[in-house]
Amino acid sequence: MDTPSKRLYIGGIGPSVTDIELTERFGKFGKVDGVEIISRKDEHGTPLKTFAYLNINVSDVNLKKCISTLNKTKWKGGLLQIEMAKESFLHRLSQERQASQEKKKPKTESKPSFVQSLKEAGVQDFQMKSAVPGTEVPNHKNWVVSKFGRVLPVLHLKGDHQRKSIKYDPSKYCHNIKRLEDNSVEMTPVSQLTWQLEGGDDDMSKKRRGEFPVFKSPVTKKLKLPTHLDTKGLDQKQKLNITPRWCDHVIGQSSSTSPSIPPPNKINCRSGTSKKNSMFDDEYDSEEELRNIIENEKKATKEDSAIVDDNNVEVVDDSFKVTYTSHWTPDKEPRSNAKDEEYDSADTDEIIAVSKSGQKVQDMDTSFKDDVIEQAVILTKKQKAKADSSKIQTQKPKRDAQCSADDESDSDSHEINIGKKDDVKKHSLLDKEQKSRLNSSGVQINKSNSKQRIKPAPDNKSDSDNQNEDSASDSSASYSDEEYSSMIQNCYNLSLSMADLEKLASEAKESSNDEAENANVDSQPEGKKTPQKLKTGSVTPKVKKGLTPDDIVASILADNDDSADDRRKKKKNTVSPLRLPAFRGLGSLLASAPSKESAVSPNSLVSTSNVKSAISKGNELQSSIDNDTVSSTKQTAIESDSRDISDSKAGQQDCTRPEIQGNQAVKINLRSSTSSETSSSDEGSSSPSLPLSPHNALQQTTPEKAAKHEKSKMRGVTKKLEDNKKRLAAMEERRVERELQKKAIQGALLKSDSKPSIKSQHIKFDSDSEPQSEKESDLMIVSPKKVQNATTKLFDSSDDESDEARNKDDVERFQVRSRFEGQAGVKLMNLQSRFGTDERFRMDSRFLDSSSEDEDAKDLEQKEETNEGEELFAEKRKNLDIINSLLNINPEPQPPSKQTAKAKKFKDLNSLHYDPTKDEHTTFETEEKKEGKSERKKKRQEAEKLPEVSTETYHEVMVDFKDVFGVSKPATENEDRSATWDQAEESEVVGAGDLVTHEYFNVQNEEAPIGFTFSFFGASTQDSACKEVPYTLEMIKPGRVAWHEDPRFQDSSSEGEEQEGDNAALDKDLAPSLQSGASKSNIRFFFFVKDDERLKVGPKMFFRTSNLDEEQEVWVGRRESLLEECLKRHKDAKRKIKAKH
Amino acid sequence: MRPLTEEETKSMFEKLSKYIGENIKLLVDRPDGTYCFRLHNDRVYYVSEKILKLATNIAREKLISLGTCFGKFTKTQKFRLHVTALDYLAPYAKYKVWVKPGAEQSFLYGNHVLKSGLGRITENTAQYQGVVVYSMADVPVGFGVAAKSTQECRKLDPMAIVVFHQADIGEYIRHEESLT
Repeated sequence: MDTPSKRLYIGGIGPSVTDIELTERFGKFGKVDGVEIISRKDEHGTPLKTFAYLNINVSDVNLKKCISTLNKTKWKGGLLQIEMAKESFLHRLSQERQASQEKKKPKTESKPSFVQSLKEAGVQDFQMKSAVPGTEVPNHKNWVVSKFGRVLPVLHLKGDHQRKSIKYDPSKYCHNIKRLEDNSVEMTPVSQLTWQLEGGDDDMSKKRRGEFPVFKSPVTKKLKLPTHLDTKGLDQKQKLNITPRWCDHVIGQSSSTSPSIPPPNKINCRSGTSKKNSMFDDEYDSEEELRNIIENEKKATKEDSAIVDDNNVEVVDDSFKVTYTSHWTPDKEPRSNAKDEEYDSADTDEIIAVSKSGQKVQDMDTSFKDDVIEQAVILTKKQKAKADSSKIQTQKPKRDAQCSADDESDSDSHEINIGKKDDVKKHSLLDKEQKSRLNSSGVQINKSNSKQRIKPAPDNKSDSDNQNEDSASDSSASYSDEEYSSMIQNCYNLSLSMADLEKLASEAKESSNDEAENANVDSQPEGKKTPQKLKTGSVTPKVKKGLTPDDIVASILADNDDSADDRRKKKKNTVSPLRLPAFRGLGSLLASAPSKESAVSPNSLVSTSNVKSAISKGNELQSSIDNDTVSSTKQTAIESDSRDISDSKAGQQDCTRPEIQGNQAVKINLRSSTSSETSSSDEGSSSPSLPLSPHNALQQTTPEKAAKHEKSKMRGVTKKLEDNKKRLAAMEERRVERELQKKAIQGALLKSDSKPSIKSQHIKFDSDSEPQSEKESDLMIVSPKKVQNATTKLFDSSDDESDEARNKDDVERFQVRSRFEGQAGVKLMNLQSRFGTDERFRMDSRFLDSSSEDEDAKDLEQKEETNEGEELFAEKRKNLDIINSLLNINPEPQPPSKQTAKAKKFKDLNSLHYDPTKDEHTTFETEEKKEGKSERKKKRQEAEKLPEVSTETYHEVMVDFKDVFGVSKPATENEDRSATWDQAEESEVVGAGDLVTHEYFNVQNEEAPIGFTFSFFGASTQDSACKEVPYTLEMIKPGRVAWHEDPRFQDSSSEGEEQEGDNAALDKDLAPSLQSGASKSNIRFFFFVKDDERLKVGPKMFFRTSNLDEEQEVWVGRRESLLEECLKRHKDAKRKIKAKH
Repeated sequence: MRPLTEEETKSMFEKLSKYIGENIKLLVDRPDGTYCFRLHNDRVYYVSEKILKLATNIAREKLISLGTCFGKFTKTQKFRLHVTALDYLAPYAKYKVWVKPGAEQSFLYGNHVLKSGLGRITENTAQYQGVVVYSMADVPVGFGVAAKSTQECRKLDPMAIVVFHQADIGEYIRHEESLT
């Protein structure tokens, strides 16, 4: 029998059907091979669906039979559905695999044959030897030779959005093909890939590795240095990490060290590097990588003292107290110049002065330079040591400041430092190296020296405590000042001066007489000096130079103007070949360095100098002059410049110049003293001027000599000198004027303090006059008429003057005179104040009476005064108002997040739920009063009114009420109920309009007052009912529908009640609103009757119209058709989509 | 010279309040004297009463400056704070930024402050908040606008700008001609 195995799907099996039963059932039609029951179960285990697959060997006929009999039959609670089953998925899977395998096979099979065919055509391994690109492969239509003899297929490609397919011939597009070299040998295997980039030690590769250099601030301009020095200096720098590596890189090793580049270049460099950095930033994608890099950098630069850590940005509270050291604060006093506890971002004055000095010192003589070398060595060594030892940032800034100001010096000193470790042995070293270095290093060293000179100047601390980092420079400077300056420099001064002199002599081609003289002169003091720490030697160079102090003075004065740069440049150009020696006094310079404020008297100046050894008078004067001149940082710079002048002028000295310079020296003293801001020092300062002049006179002789001898040589400088002279003359005049002024003021002050005098010109206050005390004590009342002279000051500095006398005066001043006491006294005082302290206008009680007359005038006056004050006061108030308004507004536009601001404004009402536990929500509650009788009465009356109104205007009673209410009796119950309904509705609960509550209240009210008969239908039942009949006639039907749909009213207990309730509610709602109602022809009663139509119609809507079974059948059919439709459409849609793609 | 109108005052105070907040009151209402603002040649000056009175005696064309110049009103009536106001902003500043020594000079030349140059910053600094810039030695060196809030600052890369430069004390030299 041909019974192919068929697979049947049987659906809708009852849950309790088993395999065996299935096999039995279906076994009648054929042999059952296998049964699979699959039951889809619910979450709780209750089977939702059960179906089975049945493999049966059955003929078609039998199959049909089977289906017809068993399909759609009920079996154990389930409706069977028999269909041809889809293949079991395993079966299907296997079929698919087979199909795919078949597909593959032809391919694999075809390939070798294809290769064979190609071989025949001459293609070996897809390569055709010596074939021009474009040749076709014989016998193969779709193959073509491309570059390098490769045989490639011609492709037919289809674009994404095109319908046409393009023919791509590879031979035509082969021009850009390149043969890659085999680099696999060099490439690192994957397992060994790292982030480490090789590349050496240059900055680029360093950056790639993430080692960023330390940012170094740009330094001021610096002279060009000879290369050898630079390199050395650079090395040092790198060691000590003063300059950033990138800086070096950018600037170039060949150029002078970084500070020499003017700031704009610096900025460019920096911007360039920043660009570079930004380039590298692209490489770093994530924060982690950045951090790694930063860590690497940290490690790499650990030895450096102060490395910037990017992640260590300190975040401080508002309570962080800013310690103002150089800026005024409302609470704190302004810092005194002496205070220098922390690093100050270098006082600009300092920097300027330093830079100026540095630049001016260019042409200083080599002897000085050498001295400075020593100095620099000592100082910088110390500084460096300190810098290295401590890794605090404050040091770095200090260093930076120093470096920024005088990096060149540092570099040089470094370099020198390397060479000379032993301070003591510098002598010999210097001797050897001095010549080599005279021209080269002198400049920077000078600068450094000058810097170091200046550094200690602002810092009063002369403590030699090397621990104190702040006083790094101080201590070093002081140290040097104290000992080395005197010991070493002076010696070396002289030695060098000799050499320099010789040099000069050779260059200048002068007669050696004077030089020899000078040399002799020098040698003598030199001899003295060497064993001792005397500065006597310094005198001689001065003497020899003669003009040096004067020159210094002149140059200082000259340098007050800002044309110093030009001059400097000029000088540089002209004087550079002449490195004039024998300068004098580094020691003197240093001596002057320490104290800025000490310039009170020359003696004091001297005493404050750090030179402890005995100093000759000339020395003193020298130093005093120097101190005076150096007391301000500017002056140091100028001083150095003056040396330049002196050097340049060495050959040429006019007789007049020394005089001028001598005077200038005097004036300088004056000026210095004035600059030190002590008036009392004026007197003191005048004294040194006197000794100075003879000194200058002494010095004149030698300069003159030298001048004459070197005149011939120094022609080039004459013009400059003349200009200088003119300037000096002008300065001199100004000095004189100032001095006079000062004297005048002083005299006036003295006078005023000691003898208050009444000037006839205007009313003036005497210190002893009585009213003045009140006047001065009451600052607010300022009479526009009065002129207050500053002769009497309340808080005048009373250092020198008679303090006691002053105090007494003060005491007297501030005591209130007896006659000014009391209210009347106050008036009197006010009166008196108008006339000031003029003794002619003393007011006593007599004036009080008559003051009423004057009062008006006085008041007016005062009003004027107050008006002015008021104006300001009003303005102030206005400003405050504006501020307030602004401040109130301000916080709003500045919320930290705008979202929060918005959130504040928005109130989500939906989220607002009434919570009885919350106190705030009590506002939501309305009081539920149990109505008292009176209230109800009122309500009743009000309710009555409504119909009354309507009755008057609109109503016509057409119907006999009796008829209407003939049926009212049975409906009384309903009436009551309806009443209760109305009642319930009156006392609604806000926020909860459920029917439940209605019913609740319904129940309640039934129990409640019995005596109450609802007025609506009670007293005016007849009337109202009558009225409502027409209303209700109209409205009931549609209303019912409305109510019918209203879910609220569907779950009430009884239909009748419900309907009544509906009606009642309707009535209540509608009655007030309805005022006109047409009466219908069909009178329907308000109240329900048995077999009322309304009773029937309404409920009918609840009933089913048709038979359930019929409907079901109809539905099933429809369902099937719907399903088919659905599937069809689904398939169509799918097809369309596929077609699209 | 004239006092400021309300609008002008308002716009000026608004600008000031960006930096010092409610401390403007301390400027307006000082215990040690009456100070007021005056407008002269489009510039706003903060003068004491005494100086004001003296200044009224000078002709308008001849008067160059009085008191302290806080800033000026531009052609479009916007108020621009000058560095000369720094003395009064610094003590009352609400949000402060400290700049590292290396970057300090850069700021003084008119560049913005980068993250790498940021030493310290007050917390809760909002973005675009006016800040006063200090050196590490607590010397006010200028003021600016915070480019990023404090929280954002922590996550920035070193080359990102954290404070936009508005004025610095280097301007005293660079813009000598234009400052009054």
